[in-house]
Amino acid sequence: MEPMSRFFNMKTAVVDLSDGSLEVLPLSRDLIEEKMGGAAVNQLLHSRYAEAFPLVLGTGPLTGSLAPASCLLVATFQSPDDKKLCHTPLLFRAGPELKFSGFDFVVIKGACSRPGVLCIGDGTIQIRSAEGLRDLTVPKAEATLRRRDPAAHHFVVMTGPAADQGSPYSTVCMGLGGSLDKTGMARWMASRNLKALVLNGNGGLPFGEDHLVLRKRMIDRLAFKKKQQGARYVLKRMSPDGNGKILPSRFFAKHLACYGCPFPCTSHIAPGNSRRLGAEDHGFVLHDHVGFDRLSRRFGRDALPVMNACVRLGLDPAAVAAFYPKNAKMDDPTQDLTSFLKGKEMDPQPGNGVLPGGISKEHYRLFGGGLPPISVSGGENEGAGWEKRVAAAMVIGICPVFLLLFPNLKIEEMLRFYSPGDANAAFSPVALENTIESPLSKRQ
Amino acid sequence: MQKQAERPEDHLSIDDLRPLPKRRRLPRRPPVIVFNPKKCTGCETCEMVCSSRNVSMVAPASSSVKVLRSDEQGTNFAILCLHCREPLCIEACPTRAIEKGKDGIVRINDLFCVECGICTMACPESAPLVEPTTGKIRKCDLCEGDPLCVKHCPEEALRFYRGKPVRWIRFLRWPVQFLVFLFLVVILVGTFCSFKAGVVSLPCPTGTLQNIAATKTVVVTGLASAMVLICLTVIFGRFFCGWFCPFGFFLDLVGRITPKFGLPAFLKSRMIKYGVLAGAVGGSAGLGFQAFCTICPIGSICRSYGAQGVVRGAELAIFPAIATLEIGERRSWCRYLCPVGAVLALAAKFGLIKIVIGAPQCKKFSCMQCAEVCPMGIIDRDALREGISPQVPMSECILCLRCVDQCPYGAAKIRFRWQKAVPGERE
Repeated sequence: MEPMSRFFNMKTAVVDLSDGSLEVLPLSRDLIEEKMGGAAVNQLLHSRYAEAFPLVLGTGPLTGSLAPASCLLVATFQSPDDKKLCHTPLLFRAGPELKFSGFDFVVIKGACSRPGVLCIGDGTIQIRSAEGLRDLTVPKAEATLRRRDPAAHHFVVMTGPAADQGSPYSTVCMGLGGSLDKTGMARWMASRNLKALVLNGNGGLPFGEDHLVLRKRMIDRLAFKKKQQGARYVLKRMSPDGNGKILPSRFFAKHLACYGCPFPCTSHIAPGNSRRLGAEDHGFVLHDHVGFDRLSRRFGRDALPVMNACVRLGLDPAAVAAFYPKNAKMDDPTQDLTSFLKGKEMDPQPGNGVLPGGISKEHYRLFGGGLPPISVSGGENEGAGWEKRVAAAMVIGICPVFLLLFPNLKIEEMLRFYSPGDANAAFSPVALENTIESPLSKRQ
Repeated sequence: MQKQAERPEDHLSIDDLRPLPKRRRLPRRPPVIVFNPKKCTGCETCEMVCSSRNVSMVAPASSSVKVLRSDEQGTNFAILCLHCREPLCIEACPTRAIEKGKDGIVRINDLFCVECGICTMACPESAPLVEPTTGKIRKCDLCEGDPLCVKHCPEEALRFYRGKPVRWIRFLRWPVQFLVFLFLVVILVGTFCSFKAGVVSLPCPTGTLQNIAATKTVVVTGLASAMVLICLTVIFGRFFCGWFCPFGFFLDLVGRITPKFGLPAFLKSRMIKYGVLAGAVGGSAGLGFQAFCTICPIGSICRSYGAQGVVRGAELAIFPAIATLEIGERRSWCRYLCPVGAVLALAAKFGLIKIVIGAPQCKKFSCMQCAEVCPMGIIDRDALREGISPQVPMSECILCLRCVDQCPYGAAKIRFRWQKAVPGERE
C-alpha cells in the first residue's frame, strides 16, 4: 500500500463562499513529501490563494489515525489583529471529522451574501442558510442546527453572539468547550458571513495491524496517575505556583478527552459544583486552560460562572480578564458580558499575558494564542523547546497539548505510526525537522 | 385458462423458511461488556478499534459501538449490544438474520440481512447501528469473546464480563426451610408462638404485643425475649420470613403449583398489614385475650399438624384458606396481610444490610430475572425497563436471596447499609 493514501485522502477542496463553487484538487504527492501536512501545507495553500485572504483547514498525516491524540485540525488564516498568519489548533473531534469527510485540506475564500453554514461531508461541501441562528447562545444555536439535520453525526465549529455583534474579542466555539482561538478566527468567519462549519466524517483511513500494537505500547508507557488528569492538572503544569489550586478538585469531577487521546486534559464543570453557576445552565467543558487561568487570576472562584458565560457567548475569556481588575465581581456574568461585547478598544492585546520560559510572543500567537505555555525542558532553551514541539504537533496532526504534557514522548516515536518498519520513509525525523521550519519561520 | 384465486396458505412465510428459534436456556456464564460511564472520557478509542476489526479501517462511522457525549451534562454514554436474554431484534427481524448462539452472543448473519434497519428500531438500546454511507447494519459480536474495545480502552471504562450466577443459595434455603418446618410443625408442635428450651424463651413478637395489650401488664423477661427476633431482624433484615417461617415455606410450595390470576386492587397495599397489626393489638386489648393468635396461620400450622396437634375443627381450615391467596400473587399473605411480617418490617427499616441491584453489568430491561423470581414483588420492573437501578425496600425484602442466586450477571448483591458502592464497580 502506498503510504500517502494510507494517511491522506489526497484531496484538497477549494470552496468559494461568494458563489458556492467547489473545486476539488488532487493533493500532490511531492507536496506531502516535502511539507508533510498540517500547518506546513496550510501555509503553502494560504500563500497560493493569498489574494483572497482565505481560511485554510488542514489535517496532518496522523490526524484520525490510531496514534494517540490524533484529533488536530489546523485552521490557518491571516489574523485580523495584526494581519499576520496564524495557525489555530481545533481539537475535540474536528481533525478526524474533516479527514473522514473525504478532504485533507479545505481552502475557504470569498464571503457569503447571507449568513451561511458550511457543511463538509461525504466528499462534498455545501453552503446552507444560517437563518435563525444569529444572536443565539452557542448551545442554543448548535441545538437548532442539529434539529435541522438530526440524522447527521457531525461536529460543529461555530461563532457565538460575540462574533455576531462584531466584538473584537470573539472566539469560535466547539460545543460548550470553547476553543483555543485567540487570534481572530471567529472574526474571520463573521466577516465572511460564515456562522458555522459542520464537519461530517463518515469515511475512514486504512488501518495497519501494527498500529494497534504501537498505540497500546505507547499508552502503557505513559502510565499517568488518576490524580494527574483533567483541566486542573494542566492548570497546575502551566503555573505551578498556584492558580490551579484556587479551585477545589471537586469542581473538576468529570474529565474528558479528545478523539483518540488517552489523557483527559479537559474537565466538565457541573452546576452543582459551583454555587455561582446559574441553575438554568447545566455546565460547560473547561478546554481553554489559558483563558480560565487568566479569569481565575481576576475573579478567583467566581471565574467559573464568568467562564461559563464566555463559552456560551463565544467570547475570549482571556480578553475578559484583561479588562477587569483583580478580585472583580460580576452579579450576572451573562448580562454583564453581553454589554461588554461592544465598545472596548483592542488594547491591550488579550490572550498573550506573561509567557514563561522565553516563549516568544510572536510564536505563541502564531499557534492561536491559546495553547497552554507548559514547561517542556526546564532548561535555558525552554522557549525554543516549546515552539519546536508545538510546531511538530501542528505539522503531523497530533494535539499539541498532549505533546506538551508528555515531554518524554519523542516526536520520532509518533512518526513510527507513519512508517513502523521503514526507517527511510519520507516522514523521517529529519524531514520533520526541515518541515517545521516553515511555520516557525518569521511570521508573514 | 382462468387463474385460480390464491389462498394465503399457498404462500410460504419466513416462519416456514426460517422459523424463530426455540427459547434456549441462558448459558451458565453469559458474556457481556460492562460500560462504566464514570470512567469514560469520550476518547472514542473503542470506535476506532472496533471499526478496524469491522472494515479494516479507522472509520468510527463503521463501528459497532457508538459513544455519545453531552457537553451540558458532562456525561458519556456508549451504545453497545447487551446480548439480551430474549432479544427483541431477533423477533423483529423480517428475514431472521439475527441469531443468538449457544454462547449467548447475538449475531447478524450477513447472508440474510437485507439492511432494512427494523432491528435498530426494535432494540431498546438502538444497539444495531446503521453505517451512514452503505446502510449496512453493524452490531457488536463481542469479537467472538475477546473484545478489542475492552483491550484498548485507556480508562478501563469497558470491561468484558462473563456472568457468574451464584445458584447454590437455593440448595441451602430449601433444606433449611424444610428442616425448620419439620422442627416447628411436626417435632415441637406449637413452639413458634412461644419456644422454650430451659431458661431460653423466644416468643412471637406480635403475640407478645397482643399479650401486653390483653393483660395490660408488661413482663420484662417476656418482652426482652421477644426482642431477640427483633434484634436479629435489625441486623439481618426479615430473614425469618424468607428462611424460617413455616407458613412461608408452605406458601412457597403452594405457590409453585398454583396459577396466578392477580389480586383485586384494594388488597394490594402493603400498608394493610400494619392495619392488621393495629387491629390485632387493639382487638386483644378490647377482648382481653390474644385475638389474632386464634386465627394466626403461622400459629395454626404449628399447632395443627403433627403428632401432638392441638388445633381442631374450624381452625384447621384457616391456613389452607389463606393459602388460596396464592392464586392471586406469590406470598400474598406475607406481602399485604401478615402482622408478624409488619412488626419485622418495622425493625428491618433500620436494618444493617441491604440488597443492591443494578451493577454496571446489570442488563436491566433485557433480563429482569431478579424481578421475576422475587416472591415479594418488590423489584421495580418499571425502573429496570427505564434502565435505572431499582431501590429494594428492605422493610419488604424477606432476604430469601433469590435475586442474588438467580442473576446471571452477578449484578445483585448484599451490601451493608452504609456501603454506597454499586456492586461490580471497583471500590
